[in-house]
Amino acid sequence: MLEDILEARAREFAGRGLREKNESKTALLVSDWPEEEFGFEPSLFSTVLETEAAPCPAGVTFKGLPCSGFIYHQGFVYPTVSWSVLLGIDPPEVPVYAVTYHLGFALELAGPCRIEKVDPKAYKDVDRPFCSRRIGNLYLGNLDISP
Amino acid sequence: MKASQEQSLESLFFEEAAGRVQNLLESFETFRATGEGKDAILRLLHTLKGSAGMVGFQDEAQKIHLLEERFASADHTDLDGMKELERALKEMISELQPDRVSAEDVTAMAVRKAPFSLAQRLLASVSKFETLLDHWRSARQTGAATKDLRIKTEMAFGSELEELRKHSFRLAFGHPGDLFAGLEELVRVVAAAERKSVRLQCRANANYLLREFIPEFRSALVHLLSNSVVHGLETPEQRKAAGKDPVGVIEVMVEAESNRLTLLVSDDGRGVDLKALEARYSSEAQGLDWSQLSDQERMNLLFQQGTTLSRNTSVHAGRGVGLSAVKETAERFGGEVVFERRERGSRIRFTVPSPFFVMDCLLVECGGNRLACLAGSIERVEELGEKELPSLCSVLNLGDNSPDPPRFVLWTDAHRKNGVSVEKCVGLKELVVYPLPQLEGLPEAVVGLSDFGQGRQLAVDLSRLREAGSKRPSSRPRKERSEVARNVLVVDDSETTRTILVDVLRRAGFHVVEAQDGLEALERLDEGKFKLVVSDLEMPNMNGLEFLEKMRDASSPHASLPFLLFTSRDDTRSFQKAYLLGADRCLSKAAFQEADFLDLVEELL
Repeated sequence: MLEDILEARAREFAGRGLREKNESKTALLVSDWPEEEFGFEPSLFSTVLETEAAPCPAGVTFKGLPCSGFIYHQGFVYPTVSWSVLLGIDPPEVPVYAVTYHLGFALELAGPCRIEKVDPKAYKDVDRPFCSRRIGNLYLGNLDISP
Repeated sequence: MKASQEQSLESLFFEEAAGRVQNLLESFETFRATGEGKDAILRLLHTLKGSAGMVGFQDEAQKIHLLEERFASADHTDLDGMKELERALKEMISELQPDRVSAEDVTAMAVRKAPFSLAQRLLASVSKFETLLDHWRSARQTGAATKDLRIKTEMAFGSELEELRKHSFRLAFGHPGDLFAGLEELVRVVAAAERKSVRLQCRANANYLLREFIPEFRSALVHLLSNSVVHGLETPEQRKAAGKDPVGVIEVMVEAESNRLTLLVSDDGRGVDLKALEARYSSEAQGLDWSQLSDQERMNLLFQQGTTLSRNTSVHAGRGVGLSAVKETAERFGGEVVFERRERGSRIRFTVPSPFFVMDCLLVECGGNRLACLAGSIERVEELGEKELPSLCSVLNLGDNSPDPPRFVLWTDAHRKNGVSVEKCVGLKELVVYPLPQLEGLPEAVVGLSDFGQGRQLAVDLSRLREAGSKRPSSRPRKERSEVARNVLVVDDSETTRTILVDVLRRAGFHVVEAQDGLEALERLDEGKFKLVVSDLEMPNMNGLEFLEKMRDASSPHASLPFLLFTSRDDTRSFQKAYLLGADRCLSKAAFQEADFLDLVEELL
């Protein structure tokens, strides 16, 4: 009887440990550039599209960010903001567009994107525009853009 | 009116009536229980009355009018009176059922009906898709998916998709004619009752209208036209005395733009009697100081429930309900309605936003971009020849990557020599145009995104080019390889940074001029011709953002000069602020790589 109880408790603790282990990891939408990766909170986006963007006139901005083009998705036109332009890095070879849920624009990233789980305890502070933290070469993108 | 058109109008009326009856009953219950909702009942009855009159159901219109009269003076605490009103309301509702059409009519309608309705055709297309997919799956599983079969399947899918697209299009859009149908009859009936002589002119600049707009807009038009005939236009005798044509004119215009639809109802009548409006408001002690109101505010009073300048109430107008119902319709669609006074007569502008439009567009190629120009904004197209006109892509601040010279001119006003050049005219297409969101610096002429084939193109209204409100007024010219094209201004208070940048740029063949801060940079700009500015952010006297703001001022001759912010203060907010002020690129000093920097400079030139 006691053995049963102990075994049940052991299983419970083991399960709790597993759950804690799972919960400690967070998922990121990751876009790969040749020498670095950029991860974003996946809940920021409704979908990632492989499509061709229409060009945008020079000098057009969306909430202070340079607008690089326009895409159409499910009844709406979204201005696109290029991650490479924001960071001053090489443009992507295969661009994809991550359509934001509530921010009103699509972020041009390097495709194809993937979902990766990372341990937030491993984050380190970083001094880079539009990035909040990093794990090795993986930078956590910061889209807090309401000027 | 043709018999088939009458039939379709009647069906439309019954359909509309069925939709409003439920609201009417609900409003009645609210009124009986609480005393509120009388305005809603009056609006619904007024709308129904107008629609009934428009399809020629004059008896029904008269009955609704009488019911309206009774509701106007109804008291919800009078239980007997309410019972009587309920009975009258239900009787009126029962008369608005389509079973008033006789059995013979129904047979005749069935004969006239097309063999397949649009919905049936859509379902048939979907079913064909499913069958095709099934065939394809089984062929793939049995290994029979040969190249021949693949091609055949692809073709079958393609043709069925075209059918589906066609049917969906018909389901989504109606013609302006559907909106105008029956209006002439309405005007004739109201004018006869008012002993007036009226000519109605209806025009539209759109080929299609969203179907969901049509019934609501028709109701609004019924009110607006009745209002114009009854209140706006004079009798033939009065018009003659005023030196006008005895026949009054009402013009209905539907103007479709990429993001909004406007209904304009104009008449050449006597306009609004402002003295009567003032007297009405003064007598009703509305708490409004008439002298403090602007002209537009005074006009807006006309859209308030219960406002009427008419001394008598007729079956067609005079209760002060029609215009408030129109306002309610406009607001329900997120739009507005405005009364405009004109030199002769008045005009009502009813505007609602639209999620997309179908427009005739001329597809052109310019600077390596494909653009869809609204055909209505082009006066004519001809070969460019020796004429010198700005290219469309440069006027719109779009990049120019085309090696081809411009060959055609699109005239917006040939007489005044207003036009732009393009490299190629691809053809005229009917395209769906989706409006763009509000963006800072977007030229006003860029009105939407069009949908054609595999790609999407910016839709351009050339008639707005003259008033294009680009934040950066002038355009970037084609790439030149002259001396001027290599002139770069480097602005930094750090001598080390300046030395490094100057060295890198000079080795790459650029001619470089230096400045220590924003103030000096402004002076250097006025002294020479530059193609690019590379500037630090933190500087004494005038920092990089202040300098950028001055440069981007609309009156500055350097407003369109490319600007690269090169800073060690590489936080998000600084970059955002710079972009907001019109920086083309922001680069962190920490991320400096000579090759990347030069690539960026070349790109900006």
